[in-house]
Amino acid sequence: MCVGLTVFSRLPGIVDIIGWGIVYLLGLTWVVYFVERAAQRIESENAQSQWETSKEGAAGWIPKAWENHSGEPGWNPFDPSALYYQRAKWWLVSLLFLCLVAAESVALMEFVPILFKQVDHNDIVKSVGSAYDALQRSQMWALAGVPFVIILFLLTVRERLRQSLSLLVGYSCLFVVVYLLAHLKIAGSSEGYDLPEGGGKDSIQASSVKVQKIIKKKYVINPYSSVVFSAPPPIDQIELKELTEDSQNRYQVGQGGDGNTGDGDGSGAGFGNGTGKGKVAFIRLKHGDRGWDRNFGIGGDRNMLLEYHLRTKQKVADETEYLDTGLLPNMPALKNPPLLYICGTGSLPLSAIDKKNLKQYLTERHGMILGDNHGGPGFHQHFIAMMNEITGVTPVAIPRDDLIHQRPYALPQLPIVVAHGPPVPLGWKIDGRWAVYYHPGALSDAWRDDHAGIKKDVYESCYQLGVNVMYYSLKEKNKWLQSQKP
Amino acid sequence: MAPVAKALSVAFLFLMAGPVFAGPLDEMAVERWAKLKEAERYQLNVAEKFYREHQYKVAADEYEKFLKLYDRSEGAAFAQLKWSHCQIELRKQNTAIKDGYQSVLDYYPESPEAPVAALLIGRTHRDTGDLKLAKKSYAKAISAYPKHFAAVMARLDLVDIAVKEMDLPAQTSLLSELTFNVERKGPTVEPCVLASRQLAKLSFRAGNFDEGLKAVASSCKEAEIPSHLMHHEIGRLPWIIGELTGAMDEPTKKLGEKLTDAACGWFKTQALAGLKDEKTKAAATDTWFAVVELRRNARQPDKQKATLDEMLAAIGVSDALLGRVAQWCRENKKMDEARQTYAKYKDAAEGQSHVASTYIEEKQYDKAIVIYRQLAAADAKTGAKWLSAAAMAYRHSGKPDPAIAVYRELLVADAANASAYHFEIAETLYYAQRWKECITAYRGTERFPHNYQHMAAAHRQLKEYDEAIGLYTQIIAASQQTASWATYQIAATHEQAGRKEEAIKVFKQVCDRYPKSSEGSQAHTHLNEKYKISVTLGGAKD
Repeated sequence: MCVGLTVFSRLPGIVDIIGWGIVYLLGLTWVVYFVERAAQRIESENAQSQWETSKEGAAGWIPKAWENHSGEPGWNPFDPSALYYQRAKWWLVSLLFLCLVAAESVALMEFVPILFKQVDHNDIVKSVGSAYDALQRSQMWALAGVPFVIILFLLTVRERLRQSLSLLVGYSCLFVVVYLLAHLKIAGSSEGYDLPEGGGKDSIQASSVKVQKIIKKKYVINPYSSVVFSAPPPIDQIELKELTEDSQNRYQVGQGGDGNTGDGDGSGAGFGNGTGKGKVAFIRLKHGDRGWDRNFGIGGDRNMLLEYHLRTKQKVADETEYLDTGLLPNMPALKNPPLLYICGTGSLPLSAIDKKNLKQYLTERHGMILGDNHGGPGFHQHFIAMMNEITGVTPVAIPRDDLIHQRPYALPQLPIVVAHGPPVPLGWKIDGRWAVYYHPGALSDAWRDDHAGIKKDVYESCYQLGVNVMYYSLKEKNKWLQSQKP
Repeated sequence: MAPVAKALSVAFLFLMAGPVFAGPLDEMAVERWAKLKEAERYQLNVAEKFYREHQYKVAADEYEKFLKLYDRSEGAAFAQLKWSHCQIELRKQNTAIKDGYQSVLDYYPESPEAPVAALLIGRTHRDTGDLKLAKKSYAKAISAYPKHFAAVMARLDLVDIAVKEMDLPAQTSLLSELTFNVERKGPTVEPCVLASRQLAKLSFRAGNFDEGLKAVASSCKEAEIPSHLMHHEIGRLPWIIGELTGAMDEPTKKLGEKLTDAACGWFKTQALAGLKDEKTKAAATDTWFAVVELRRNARQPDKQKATLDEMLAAIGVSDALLGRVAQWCRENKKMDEARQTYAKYKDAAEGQSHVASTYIEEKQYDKAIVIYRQLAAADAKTGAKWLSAAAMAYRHSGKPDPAIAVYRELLVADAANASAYHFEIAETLYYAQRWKECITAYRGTERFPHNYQHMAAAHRQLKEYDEAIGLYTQIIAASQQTASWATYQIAATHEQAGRKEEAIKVFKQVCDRYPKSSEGSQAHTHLNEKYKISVTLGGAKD
């Protein structure tokens, strides 16, 4: 069940919502079925009991609707004649409903402390804004449903209907709690991120050149065609020998041996200040622009994570992730993610709290941001303005011979898919290190399965640039962790 | 959107283009050129030629060749310096510092290039965002070569860093030193003058008129001070007053008012002193006009009017002064009063043209046209100018036919400018949305590609999509600069015609052929968002 929920949570957008919708309906059907069966059983037991009582000659005693066979209204929620399904006891239902909402909020307390910490109590406007934010995030709007439920309850004539209504509300509240908890887990862990343990150098082992075989039969396809010709060949045409050869370099036994990439004296690829459970993660920031999740997950940035693993031999996470800025201050300072990927198409709407969190992340916790423009001048200007405000420094063109463009791969030129701004990589430098790297040309489009249809040397350079930026952030984090040691 | 994005991109690239060297930073003295042997001079000239042609990679190789062949030559330090400049242009700033400028300091410490190299190490650090290292390097340059102009330049660069770090005391102290303490001689004059102007602006922003005045006065003759104070790049006084008095917070506003009063007081004193001498009367009048301008920028219309009245009383009536009075009336929505003032002009034609402009401002085009017609009839020499103005008034009033009739009149009356009038006729028809007629009219004009762009747009309005595409194709063939725009328009035309397949194909072509252009960016976004196509093509390296 848990695995199923987690899988749903990892699916993006509409698929996630539809999946959860189906789960909700299935669950509701089963709840209705079981409650109905239980209610029928209890009612038949009551009827049996009454019949037996009347048979024994206890004439004159007629049980009231809410009384069980012993004559007193019970507490069993499956019993339609239970105490709290009486119309006269509306306050009791309201109390129970409030308790459910409170339980839901308690389950979301993971959010609340972060937000309360961030509220600047000296500034009333900020406080109101943050309180609203907290209310929204903790789903406290469910409170608004309380009077609605009470009115419905009072208007309902039959006990069975009142029972159904109460159980529907209870089931829905519990479902919301489960849904949010499942998503909280996925939207970034507050436990933080460790570097992978190990050591190595900042150079990549030379790869062997494989001579391309000439394939005699080849279709000529118009490269400008709107039809995607990327369907795999029929299964009987796949040469198993070739498949084995092509895929053999995906994994090699003994990876992490010689030619490790990293920093430090440890064994295996990794970093001196890493931990055994540490893995390289690729985390993107969730923000208000609709293009924030462009190329997220399987077939997108996950390819980059996989390539990073193949090229550096460092341990990487199974999946790419996203997080909200609200989680950053809640993580231990030393375990903040080394790199945050920000992508967008139109703008970069960040609240005052988001900016404060990112400023802390960049300046105090030695984090790094990789910005990627997928839209045009709008995102370009917004991103620059935001980073100027957050970092307090102005951007400069990053030199071609900077370390970030030289290690592990030497990149003499900036690869772009399409330039959404001037084709120059911009950097914001804080204390001698690049805190923000901005790529103007839809970098992650080249990481996709289809590589946006661009030439191999360009998308290969895009992967190399991705490796360089990730490696740079990890190495800088490793240096900082070293400096934090007593 | 596309032209805006293009303009922004160009402006950004211009800002990002790195330091532009000129003068003493990248030139060798003629006397030293004379000391070079023939072969050395030849090799250095070859390298210089490529450098001037912006072929920096080739130039760097040529400078390197020079260094290998003639490492003890008089020009060796210069070649090393220029090699470093090439690295900067190739955006290899770290190489420029470590292998270039530092080598000049290590191998040629006594050469004239050494102080320049020391300065440029700091400047390169600054341009790559390493402000701490930059400060250190500048400090080294200043202490090693205190009398050299590189030390002056270093101080000026330190001011830039102080501005970035918002360190006001450091800015003031450095600028004061450069303005008042450094000896201005040879190449140090320019940076010191620049510093004095910066100091003036800084003082004005702090509400200190006297200090700003002193700074401006240090870099010009006494008679030039008023004009320098009012200049938008030198003293920038009116703009600073406008910024301060337009601020939302009361203390800043007060500061602006204080600055205005101090400045106006000084200008008035200067004006009154100048009016006493007939020779300086004209300059004194201009100085007094500065008071009017300052009061206007300080949003003090009453004081502005009072100054004008004072001037009328002191100097007497003149067209220039009446013009200022009328301008004040216009700004304060007193149009009738303004027209009455214009009517008092000695140059009646000029006055009437201003009256017409007031009618245009009030959108009373017919009255303006009558005046322009009268002016055209009164003077044949300037007739074409007034008739053009009348035609434009007709266009603004939404009457294209009379406007075209006027332009046709002008075709005969002013045959020398016939092509311009043909173009205006076409433009009038275009903006009147008379598509067929405007296409015919544009055919006879010469302003390519503007005429083809508008013809194609007109065809699209008429749903003649193939004709529009034909015109865009011609633009692609003839004008490389607008080729990406025209290709994008072809795709948009296909889309407008409902030919999705063709549109997608051409949008992909835009991404593929022009991946660095703003149209490439637009096409990429459009394919992604409208058609949900991820295989957009493209790909380039820069």
